[in-house]
Amino acid sequence: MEAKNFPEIKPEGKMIKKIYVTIMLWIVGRAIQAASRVDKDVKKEFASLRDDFMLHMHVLPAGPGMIVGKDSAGKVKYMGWNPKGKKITLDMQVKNIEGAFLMFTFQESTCVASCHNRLAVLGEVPDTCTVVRILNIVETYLLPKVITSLAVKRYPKWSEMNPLRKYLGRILIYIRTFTF
Amino acid sequence: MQIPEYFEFFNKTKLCSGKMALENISFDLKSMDSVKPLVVTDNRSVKSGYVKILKKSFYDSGMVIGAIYDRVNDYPSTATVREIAELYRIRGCDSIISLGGNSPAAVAKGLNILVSNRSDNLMDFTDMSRSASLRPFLSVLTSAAAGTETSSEAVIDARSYRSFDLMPDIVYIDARLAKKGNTNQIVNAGLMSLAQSIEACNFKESNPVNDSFAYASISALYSNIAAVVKKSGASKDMPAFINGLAISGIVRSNAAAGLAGAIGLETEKLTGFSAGIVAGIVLPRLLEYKLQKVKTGVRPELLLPIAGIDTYCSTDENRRASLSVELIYELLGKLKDNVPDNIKMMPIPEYMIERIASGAEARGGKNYPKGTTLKVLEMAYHGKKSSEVK
Repeated sequence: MEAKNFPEIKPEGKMIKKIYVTIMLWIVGRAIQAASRVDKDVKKEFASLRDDFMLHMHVLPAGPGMIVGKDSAGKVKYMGWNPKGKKITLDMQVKNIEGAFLMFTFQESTCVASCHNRLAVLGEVPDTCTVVRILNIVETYLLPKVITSLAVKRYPKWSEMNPLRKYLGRILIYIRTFTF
Repeated sequence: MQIPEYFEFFNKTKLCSGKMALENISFDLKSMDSVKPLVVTDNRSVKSGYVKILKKSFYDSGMVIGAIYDRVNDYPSTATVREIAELYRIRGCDSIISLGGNSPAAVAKGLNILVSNRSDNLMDFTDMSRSASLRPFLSVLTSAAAGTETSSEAVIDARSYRSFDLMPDIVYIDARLAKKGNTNQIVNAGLMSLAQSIEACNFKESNPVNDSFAYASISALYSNIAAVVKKSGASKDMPAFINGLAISGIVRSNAAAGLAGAIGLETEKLTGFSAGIVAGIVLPRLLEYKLQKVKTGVRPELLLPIAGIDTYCSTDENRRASLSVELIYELLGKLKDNVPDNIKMMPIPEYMIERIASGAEARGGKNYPKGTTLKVLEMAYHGKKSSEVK
């Protein structure tokens, strides 16, 4: 047997999927920051989290990722993708880029992805549940109902989010996400 | 539920089944402190494109595949195991992945014994208590699965190596690897696994945990085998069928050998005909014989995984066992293109029957009255039901 007949295989990258997930994480990170200033429920959810809360949501093994946390003034901020020098309190890891792609193309909701064991979490379980609820609200603002219904467990009823709140919030969140 | 006075159950295998299951391999390997796996597979998996799919699942994982050995034959041999062990050492691999059916899995188990013990002689480990603890071993099942991959046994060069350590750490079942398969191979694997799972939960000494595994296996195999065969395996039912096969491997590792399975294996050894098909022909006759002559050993609960909860509940308790047997006959009727009515049609000469019976009795006939094996085999040979024989 000659070993050269069975070469070592170095893995290639999945560049397009990686770029897509990077953009989506950037938008979601910025939108969480915007929603925390616009929506009362998101504000309330963040208020229940500890003062030094910092979420690092990223794809294993080497990203992409996003960091959202509270700054020293207690304001929610999108803090980029690099965890270096930051004290992460909740580390949400998506096991691979395919899992992240399924989640961010809304083929699988966050809940279903958790059930399919695509996520690993280092941190407190109540904090994770809070983050999932925040993500659900943010997705409801960002996306049309048809797509959001795929991404969240239950689309909010009229009484939970009336159209005026939804559309006004959507405009404000979009402006804040893509401007400042 | 009655719990026996004493029982044991062991399973170290985690099942990972579903959409994008393969993409978890790199994460799982890293969690076992492994960074460089060696893939053992056969030419069939290369031709079906399964190797390509496996390679793609490693994209973006940052993990290097040490090598893909794709020359495993249908007959797992010591020479192949030794050859791959050399490759494993040259490349500095630290874990093993088998891709495909029985043969790559058996070779991978043998390879694991050699590399974990830094040895070149597999025969030193026929007694596995001498073995060091083994390296991480993952098994990726395809449409060529036989159900033996998850078992605690590896048969290499007709020599059996047994230890619970040989069970794979994780088994992956992904719909992308469940495309078209060889129909005869599917029937053979399905019937053998079905026979072994049914027999595993039909002994007096019940094992409640193994029973629950056996029920899951019987249900997945019985309800999917006909559909899988009809569509040559290329169907949505195939992953469920492969799950049934995988679970049956765990079941057979925790149960004594059954008589139908033993007859199948002995026939294969002596005549070369498929063990699964023989076991499938023998199984309903054996159960019927037990019901009518031995009067014990077929549990009414067998109907539950076979027919489902509705039929089970609407059937009289005294009729459940016999209805189960009728349904197995019905299944064989659905598979009549692949399974002959009797063993005579295979064709196996009649003079072989006694030899097969004596060999099978030694393998799996200890729990039956003397002479049962020959009687059941004669019925299966002539295609007669127990009620038709005096």
